[in-house]
Amino acid sequence: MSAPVLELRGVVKEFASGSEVLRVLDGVDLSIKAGETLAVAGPSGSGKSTLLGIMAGLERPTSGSVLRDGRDAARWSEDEAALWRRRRLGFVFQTFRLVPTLSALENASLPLELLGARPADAEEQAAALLGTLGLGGRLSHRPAQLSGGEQQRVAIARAYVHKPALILADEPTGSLDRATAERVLAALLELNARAGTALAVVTHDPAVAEALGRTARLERGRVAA
Amino acid sequence: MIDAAALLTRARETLNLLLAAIGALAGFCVVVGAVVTAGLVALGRDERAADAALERALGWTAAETARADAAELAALGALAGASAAAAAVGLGWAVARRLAVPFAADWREVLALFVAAAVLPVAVGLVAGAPARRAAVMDALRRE
Amino acid sequence: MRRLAWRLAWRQWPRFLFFAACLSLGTGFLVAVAHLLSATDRAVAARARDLLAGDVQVSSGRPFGAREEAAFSSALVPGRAATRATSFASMLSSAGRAPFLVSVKAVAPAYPLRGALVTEPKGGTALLGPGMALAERAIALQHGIKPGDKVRLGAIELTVAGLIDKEPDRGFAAFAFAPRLMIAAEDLPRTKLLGLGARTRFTWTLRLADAEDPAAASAALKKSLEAALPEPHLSIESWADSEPTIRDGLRRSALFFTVLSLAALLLGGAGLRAGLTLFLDAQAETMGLLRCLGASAAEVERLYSALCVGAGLLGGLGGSLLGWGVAALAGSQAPRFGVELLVRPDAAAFLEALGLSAALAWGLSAARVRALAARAPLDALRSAPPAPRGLLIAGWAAAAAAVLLAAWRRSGSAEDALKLSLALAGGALVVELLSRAALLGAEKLASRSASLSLPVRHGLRRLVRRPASSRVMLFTLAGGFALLAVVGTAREGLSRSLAPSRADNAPDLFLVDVQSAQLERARALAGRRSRGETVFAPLVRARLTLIDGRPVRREGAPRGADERERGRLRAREYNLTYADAPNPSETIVAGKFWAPGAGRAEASVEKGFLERAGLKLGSRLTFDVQGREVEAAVTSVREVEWAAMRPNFFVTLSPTCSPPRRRPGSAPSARAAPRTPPPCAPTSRALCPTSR
Repeated sequence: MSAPVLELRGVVKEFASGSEVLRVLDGVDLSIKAGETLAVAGPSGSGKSTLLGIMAGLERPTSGSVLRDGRDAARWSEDEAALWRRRRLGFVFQTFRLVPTLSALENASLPLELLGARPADAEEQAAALLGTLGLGGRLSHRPAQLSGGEQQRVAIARAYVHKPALILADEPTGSLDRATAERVLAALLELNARAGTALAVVTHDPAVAEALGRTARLERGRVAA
Repeated sequence: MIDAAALLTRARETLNLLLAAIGALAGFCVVVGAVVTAGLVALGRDERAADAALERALGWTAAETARADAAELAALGALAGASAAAAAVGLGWAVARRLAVPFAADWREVLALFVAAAVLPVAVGLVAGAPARRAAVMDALRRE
Repeated sequence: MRRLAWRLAWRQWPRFLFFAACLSLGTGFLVAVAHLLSATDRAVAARARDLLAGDVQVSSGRPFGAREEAAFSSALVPGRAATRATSFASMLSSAGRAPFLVSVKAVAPAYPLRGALVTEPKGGTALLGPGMALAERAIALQHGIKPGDKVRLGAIELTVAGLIDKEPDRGFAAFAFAPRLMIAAEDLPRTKLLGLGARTRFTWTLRLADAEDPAAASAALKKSLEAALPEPHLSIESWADSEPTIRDGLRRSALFFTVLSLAALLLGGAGLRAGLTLFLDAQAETMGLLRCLGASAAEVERLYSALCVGAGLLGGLGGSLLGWGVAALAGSQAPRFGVELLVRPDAAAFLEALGLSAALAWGLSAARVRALAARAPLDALRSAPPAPRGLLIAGWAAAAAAVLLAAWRRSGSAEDALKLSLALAGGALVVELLSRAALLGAEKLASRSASLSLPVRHGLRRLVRRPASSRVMLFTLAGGFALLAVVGTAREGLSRSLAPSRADNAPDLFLVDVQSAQLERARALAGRRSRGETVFAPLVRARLTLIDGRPVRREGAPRGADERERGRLRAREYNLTYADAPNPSETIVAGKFWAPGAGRAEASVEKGFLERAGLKLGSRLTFDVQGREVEAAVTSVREVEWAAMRPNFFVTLSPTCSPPRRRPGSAPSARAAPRTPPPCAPTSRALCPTSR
């Protein structure tokens, strides 16, 4: 049995608000292994985005431990967390977050370039992936020239291009219409199945949660089930 | 015997040449002002496009939107002209004192400078801001 | 990352072009000034040995005596050559033309020992001989005299043998009061002009042997001549002395251009900072995204710092090209003003422009870049946190240091650079405060003026709603126009002060070197022609020998421009006057002017001269006046309104100090400044013959 890619044990996150302390996460336990899918669901204000930040190493928990690839990451420096993200993590955002001045191909090859790949190799791999996502004819288009669904597929290609161990997706279909959302989700799951990557999706859409199978429901900072 | 008038004429000619060169250089400082105005108007394109789109969505005509732009730039120019005139009086007096010459403003020239200061930003700003006004209303609103 | 930086810059090239343009004009003019200064430095250095028309020169207002002749003989070892020249001002007349003032120089055939006397037709001094003269081209242009014409100088008639186009020791682009007339030395006695005691300069010039080291040998010879000839009326110069003085003078006159270049840089810098801030804020999301994808804060900071510095370098490159072009253009026009300037690409100036631009771009953006790069990635869409203070100060310090360095390199003096930068900062503060006040006024107007049409009100509101960019636009526009207006008022002020018809009581005719015997005739003549009071002031030539008992001339090598200027002012020859009271254009600003008839030896010194020469109230000055030692204490300091064009002097002595009367050649001559009636301007020429 392989070690979880990511494991959270008793994670607490508090924010100081004036003299009051606001506890957003209150002892969250969660783990995800290679090839698994996980939906993190919950109403607004339940702490989903904070949990995602801690999972990605963008925020530190107030207490509790975070294990990445079996290693305790609670004391990692900013730069160590950044290096882990670079090699092991892919990100998909609700509002796509593509670099507006770069083409679809350049956006998708960005993680490989950050890893030091030769630009030609990076673009070759990114072009292939974009091709499988049906964007073969849109490689040189800028984000402003693409539809919402196309932009999100470019973002998915960017998340998968460097073959990470874990994909974190924050409401990946939240900005899309139903039909487009379904196509995007299908693409996400297909790549996940093909690459054997762990996939964690933050969503408030029951249909998305259902498609992912396993769901961790956040309520008042705790995982309900 | 020295003909002072002839000598002064020569001195004035030499001085005028030097001052013309210095004046030309000062003119380039105005060019810097124009470049900065045009650049900042162009850099604020998204915000301006959103303003214009909102105004158009609320029923303003294209001419009214352009008039609001022109009014903004004319106000900028008028304020710049007034500030420049006030600064010129103070700094000019200080320079005249330093050079030990009478402080003597040619008021027609000052008026001409004020008019130029008021007109210049309107001209460069309207040109630099044209793409923002021409941006498709729906695109600009969607970007918001 | 490099590839990403390139892509980000390339895809947004208009922005980067704007950033570069902000810096290009300011750095461009600094580069132009640097090129022109180094071209003039080179021209001065190349002409340094020509500027004396020899290697070592001894000059005096008196004919050389036996002691000097002995020293000259012992200096003239085999291989060296020497020549003499005599110069003075006199009137030149020609049939059918009004007489005019010329600067006469009588030379021997060996003149010049260095450099070339360029004439038309060719030949230089070979064209001179008994009864022949060479006239500066200005004489031909202004008075229509051409080769072959007959002219009268004193008691002799001369034929103009040719026109002088270039005279090596005429000064570096000097402004001359009177054009040159060159005659053969053997004709000098026949002019009968020297006996009148006119201000005459006698020079002995020596050329070193070819085998001698020019710097060492001329310095050694100068030193030995100074030891052999300690008399203060003698001026001993070597070719190396003229170079730093001219260079300092040029640097000082280039200060105006430096100030305006730095002002352009300041305005551009304000625009650059605002532009970079807008650009970086717009990039906040991309920075956050890069952090999410695994780039560290340091990597993102490096990426965007590189972009900002790259924009600065682009500005420096543009400035270098622009400056080089302007300098080349100015260099091509320089011969019209009598200066040959060879403008060569100056790598140091280019590097300085690149460094200055890069330092400004980094300094003005560093704090913002760090703040945005270090922000938690998920905060990307939230407002930017305040900039970290340390880097903010470091950034501004880098920008200020770069500007100070540029000012220092142009002015050549740390003090001037600091003053200049402080003046600029003061001016910028005035403009900034006025701009803020104006914006505040606009805000009030927008909120209260219901009578304005909606678009106008809305336009005003927009201006107020974007205070950051509005303030910068206002600052740069107001700054540019204010500079233009200040130059306009300065020009107007200078024009007025130089316009004789407008200045109250300003004379337009000067009689100089009126001898004692001529005084009554000159007074009568001036009385007939003048529309007002004619002022005659006694004048003697003198040299400062001691200050508080310490010799002036034998100082060590000067350290820096200020000390050199002080040394030059102290060692030069002066016109002194004696008076019982200050004239109406003088104001006593310190001490007390002596009472009429007071018996003590006192001196009143002009304020600027006092400061520049390093004197103070109470200093004891010892002058050599025509061989007589005169000591006086500085008891008052005067401010002089030079524009009043009265006979004004740096140093006025109490009448107690005046020389005993009167023998030819040493008597004080008088300087008079009558005011001729305005309609009689042409008649001023009619006065000329009487002054001869």
